[in-house]
Amino acid sequence: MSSRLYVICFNIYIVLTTMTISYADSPIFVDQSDASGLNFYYFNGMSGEFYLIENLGGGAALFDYDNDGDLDIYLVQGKMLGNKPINNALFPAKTLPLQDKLFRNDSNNRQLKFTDVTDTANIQALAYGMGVAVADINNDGWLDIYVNNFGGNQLWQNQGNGKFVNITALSKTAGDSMDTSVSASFIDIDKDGWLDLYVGNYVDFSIANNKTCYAPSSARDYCSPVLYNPRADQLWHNQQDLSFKDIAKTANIAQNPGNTLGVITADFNHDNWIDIYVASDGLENQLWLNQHNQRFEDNALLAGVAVNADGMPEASMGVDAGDIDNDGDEDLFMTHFLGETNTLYINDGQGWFEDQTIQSGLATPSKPYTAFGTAYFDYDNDGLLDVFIANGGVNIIPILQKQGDPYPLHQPNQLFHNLGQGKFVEVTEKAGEVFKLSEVSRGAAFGDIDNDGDTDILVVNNNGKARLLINQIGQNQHWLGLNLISQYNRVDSHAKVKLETANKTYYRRVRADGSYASANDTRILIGLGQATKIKQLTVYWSSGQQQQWHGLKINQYHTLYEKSSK
Amino acid sequence: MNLKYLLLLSCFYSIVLFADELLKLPKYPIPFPDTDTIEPTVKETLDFARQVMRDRLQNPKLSKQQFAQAYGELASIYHVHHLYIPAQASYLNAISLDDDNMRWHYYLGYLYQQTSRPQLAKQQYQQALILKPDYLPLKLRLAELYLQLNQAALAQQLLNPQTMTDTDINSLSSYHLYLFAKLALKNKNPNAINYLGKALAKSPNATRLHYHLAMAYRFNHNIKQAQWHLKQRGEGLPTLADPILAELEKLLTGSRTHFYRAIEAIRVKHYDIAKTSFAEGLKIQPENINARISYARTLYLTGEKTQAQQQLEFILQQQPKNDFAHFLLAALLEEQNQISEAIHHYHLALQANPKHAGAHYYLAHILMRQGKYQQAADHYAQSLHKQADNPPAYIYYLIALHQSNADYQTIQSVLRQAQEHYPDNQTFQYLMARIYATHAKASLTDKKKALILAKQLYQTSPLLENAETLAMAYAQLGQYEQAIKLQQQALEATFNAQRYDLIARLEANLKRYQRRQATRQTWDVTDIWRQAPFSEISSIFQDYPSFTAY
Repeated sequence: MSSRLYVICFNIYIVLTTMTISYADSPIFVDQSDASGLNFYYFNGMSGEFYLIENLGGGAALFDYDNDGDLDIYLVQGKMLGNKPINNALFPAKTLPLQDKLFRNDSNNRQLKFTDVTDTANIQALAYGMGVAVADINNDGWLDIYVNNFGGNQLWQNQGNGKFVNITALSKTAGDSMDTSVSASFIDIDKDGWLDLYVGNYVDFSIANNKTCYAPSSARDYCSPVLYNPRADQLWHNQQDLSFKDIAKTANIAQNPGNTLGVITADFNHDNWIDIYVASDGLENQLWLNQHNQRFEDNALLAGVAVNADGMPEASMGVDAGDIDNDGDEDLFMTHFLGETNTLYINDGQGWFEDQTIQSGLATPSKPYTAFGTAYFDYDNDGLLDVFIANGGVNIIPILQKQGDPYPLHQPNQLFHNLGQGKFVEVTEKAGEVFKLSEVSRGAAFGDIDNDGDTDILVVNNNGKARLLINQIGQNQHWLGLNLISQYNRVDSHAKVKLETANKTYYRRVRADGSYASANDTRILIGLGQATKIKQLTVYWSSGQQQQWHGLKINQYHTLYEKSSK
Repeated sequence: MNLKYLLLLSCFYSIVLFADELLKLPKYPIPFPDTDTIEPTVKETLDFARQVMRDRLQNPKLSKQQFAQAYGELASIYHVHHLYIPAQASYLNAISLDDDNMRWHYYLGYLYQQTSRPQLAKQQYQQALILKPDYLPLKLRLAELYLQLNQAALAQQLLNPQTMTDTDINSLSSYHLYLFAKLALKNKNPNAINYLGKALAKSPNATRLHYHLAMAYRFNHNIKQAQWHLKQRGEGLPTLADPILAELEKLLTGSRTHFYRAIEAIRVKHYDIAKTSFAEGLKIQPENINARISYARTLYLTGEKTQAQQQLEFILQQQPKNDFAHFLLAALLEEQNQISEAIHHYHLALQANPKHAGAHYYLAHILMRQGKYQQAADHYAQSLHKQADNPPAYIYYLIALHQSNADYQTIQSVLRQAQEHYPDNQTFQYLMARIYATHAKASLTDKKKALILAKQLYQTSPLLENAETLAMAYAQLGQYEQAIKLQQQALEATFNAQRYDLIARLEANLKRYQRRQATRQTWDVTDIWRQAPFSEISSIFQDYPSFTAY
């Protein structure tokens, strides 16, 4: 009796304390998925067979498909796995038919509104969706969609009239039907002005070769990917006629298969050529340095980003690159498995990295979670890149199972604030009610959904609802938004900028890829804190050209065009 | 004073009132784990442990310390079976009754560390160290935890490397030296290389230390040394001998738990740990053939090849048609140069499973080495039929066909299949270009394609053989001047490249071109067959296919 009493007292204490905290702080994010009409549940098709890939999807894209100046949403959908009928699904589908969805942003007067336009856009993506990437593959100024699936992938060409056409066969980018592909990235590997395509593949899982595994307690559980063989990634060279040629073998990419989940592309070694960093689940990560001749060399080990500081490969899922210390180079951040830490690699400017996770304060808070989608982004516009982490287990969490939880993998998401000097502090508790939810989060896409000058987040939950986390505080500080259009009539997906104010210099770059299974807003949004004037903005176009702008007005978006080099 | 404080005060008053009862009943309720889904052996162990606990609770003569001991023992059983929630509650009960027993603090700290709660682990380790200050494994574990928590100063204080003489340092264990090195690396102290070198000398199997060495050398801008160490690196780490924790591990029951541990160890290539865990699991579930095969593989990978063979033979006594066991045994015998026995077992593997791609492939290798090209070609074909993603199999298949005097129509058809899978493979391009450019049969040649392929090859890789092929293509098209020019350049280059083996061949070609004749020498098989096929047996045991235990 007394022990029960003790527990009750403790609970009362906790509730009262929490109440005090929540009254004192306003939330950073508010979930507006319901209010905006974004009604989407990711269905994973699980039926008790513990299929390896069923808890890995899905992802989302934030992109302006109709060029009306605001971000629309693409969400991939799963389907039933195995031979059982859909009524055997442990979590019934909320909406039928099961297909990927395109939502158009019809917001006005700051009232968010999304309309399902999948049918009118002619999109019929019915495969088992895992992730999505977005880019203008034919330099016509309209963003196209590449969908990563379990089974063959799909490429949807934007017609510019609100409709899409499935050009998978024409483009030859379906890949192997045996592949499970989660993340992809568009990258101009040879500076010919046309975006090529890197596709990350996972392991040789199939329904037929599903293995049986058990938890440490000997109960049935999901297997580790290490029990399957890795599949080689693909690199497709854009042939400038809507078709692509697989050059993974000649480019060296195919020679070293990994269990790829996350992909990020950037110039990591300052040679003005775009490199590829690949996050591999349980195997060494890869840093493919561009050799300037359509070939790549993996330099991850010497660069210090293949394994963690202990020399161990980790279960890498999501990844991002950004300049967290404002020193002009790309620092890497990766999300990992429960018991491992998420990992922060600081770039020394020459493409050599040091694991500074422990020093940064990001290590200990990450250990109890299995993490997926992530990004560096400046949620409070103070000029320093913060970190969001989407969490959710891949193995059964005993305490949840004990409580009879039907899907005992869920965990809360996390938000970290950058304090400067390479230090972070967790601010999840004051991030808002939506951060108190415990879900199985996977993909996360980042962008200014309501065009108010701060970064919002779209989170995809496995067997759960997609959530639209609208930033409530970023617009309270000054900011500058940039839309960078290359000489090829499309967003320069790897342009970099250096922005100088009276007291500070910021380095940012365009980034559509990274995170996990998702595509981000390609506009650059720079938080300026209290700064009110821009001294100078230098744009480093991926063609190699530089241009400067002066006197740009703050608190608004600017579209800047690269001058033609012809 | 508001309502919430009154409420709390009354609650705590009630707790004090019932304090005596807490000594008898669990202070921390121990949830009963869901045993429906766990294997019977583990369930029996847990049921027995709980029954013992219940019996002890009903014994009025037991002292507080004896109660604490009972809770601690129950906790250990839960703990070792990864049932952390009841284990934690049981340890806390034990500690609440007897705070002076180092073991429960230590085990609870270890549990907190395993469940990613390092701050709580630290508190328990610190308490344990107060109770047993001379227990070195605990000290080292705590120091490592300090490093993980970015508290290098506390680790430094605990390890105190600067106070040690060289003799002291030389007497330390590899694990201890490894921690010194980690501390030094954290402080950018050049001594790290020295400590790592000593640790590696004491534990040569701790090959992961090479990674740390590589990073230390890279920090010193010695890239050559860094790269050398990266090539040497593996997964092994120095082990920490810890008798108190070893007692906990001994409580493990249930095969699946052991097998889980084995698979986890394989994930990080700790084959010795995997071997032990498989062995323990097989004691409980000896009939598990998959686990026994995996056990045999770990035996092989830890150098116990005779025992590996015994295990495979044992499996085949139980399951004479187990294709995988036959395949592994064949590979093992092949490595021991017992070739006829190896062939026998490859055949048995194929009888049991005619589609076993690996058995076809490795059997074909042996037949190639024996000069039985026709048979080898058949097996390569069947291997590729099942597993087409294997470029060396295509190469050897083509060589086997060539050596068994197969007609070029067949060879060209195989080459086309290979090119479908590997359109950018230069060897296949080279071979195809030579057929197109030189074959006497018009149906096999294609002058234009020959030129396109040969040009592409020569531009990508300006090797002598590719120059020769391009010259052949020119000659086939009647462009003898270009063929002669190219062939002369190639001949001159043979001396610089010291490729004297090519001189006679190139000279013969040149003479033909000068006579306005195309060459008809389609392939010189030595261009692609420089050595007999080699079977990498260790990679079979390590990677092909992935391990399974269930």
